[in-house]
Amino acid sequence: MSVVSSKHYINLGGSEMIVYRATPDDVTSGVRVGKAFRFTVEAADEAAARAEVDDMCRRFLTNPVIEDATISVAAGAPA
Amino acid sequence: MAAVVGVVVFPGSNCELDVVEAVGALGGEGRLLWHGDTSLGGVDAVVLPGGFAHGDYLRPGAIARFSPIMAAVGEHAAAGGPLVGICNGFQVLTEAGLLPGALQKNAGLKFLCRPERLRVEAGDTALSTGVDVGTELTIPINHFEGNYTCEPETLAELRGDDRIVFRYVDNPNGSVDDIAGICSAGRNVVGLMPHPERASHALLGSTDGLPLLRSLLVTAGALTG
Repeated sequence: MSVVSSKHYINLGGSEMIVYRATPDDVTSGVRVGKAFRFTVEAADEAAARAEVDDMCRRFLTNPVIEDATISVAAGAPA
Repeated sequence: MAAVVGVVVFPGSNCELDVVEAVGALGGEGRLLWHGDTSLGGVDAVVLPGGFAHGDYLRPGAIARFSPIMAAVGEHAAAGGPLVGICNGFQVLTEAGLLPGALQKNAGLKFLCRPERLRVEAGDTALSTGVDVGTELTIPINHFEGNYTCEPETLAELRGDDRIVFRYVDNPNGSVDDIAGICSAGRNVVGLMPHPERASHALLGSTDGLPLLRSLLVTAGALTG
């Protein structure tokens, strides 16, 4: 990503705008904007960990009426 | 004895004092309740007011539903007690599972703050008892996430059981079926995006919210006999 114009960044008045130009890499890899929540789950096994995360997704992290959650398990770094 | 309406204050609530004032003007007693308490203190009815509880972090209502007082609010509703969620309060009720569906961002992706015309679509609820079906009311809205949505089966159920309490005359936010407010199967829990307490005095430009708040007092009084 590259910033097209820094002149449009107006902070004091309370309004903010930055214009970006997507580089070729971004066009193929996509850009994602959002919040990330990082937490550690301690569970006896993968199934238990999945169940716990699924419960958190349904009750808190997402609203199942308007949002979908997918859970994927990746090999973690050693503790 | 006057019916007592408890108004729950979350960090970021607004118009809670307006509700207390309007309830008092109608002959009831409004009492503020703190979200961190675990008891409702014996009130006859509960209002979850508007605002931005917990800053609307994550999603509006997502954190407030875990406030300590919400367990007592749920028990009050399960026992048939009148419970009304206004604006952010409606969002809290859907997040808590006390009303079905969800409120997503307005279709126009703009915050809306203006008087809006509503039609009363169902009677015999905590907020529409004694109000004629078909009555048109002008009551302010003040929200970004007021676009009601739900599963098709839920919508069919709401329609079939006459649980759509208010519809917008000119849908401002993209709500499915022009829904502005709904009620629970027991009709004692009502959620709506417009703010009746902001239309409770001639000085505010409209008194159209008063019949709704009077209904709340009537149902609260009926409960205590």
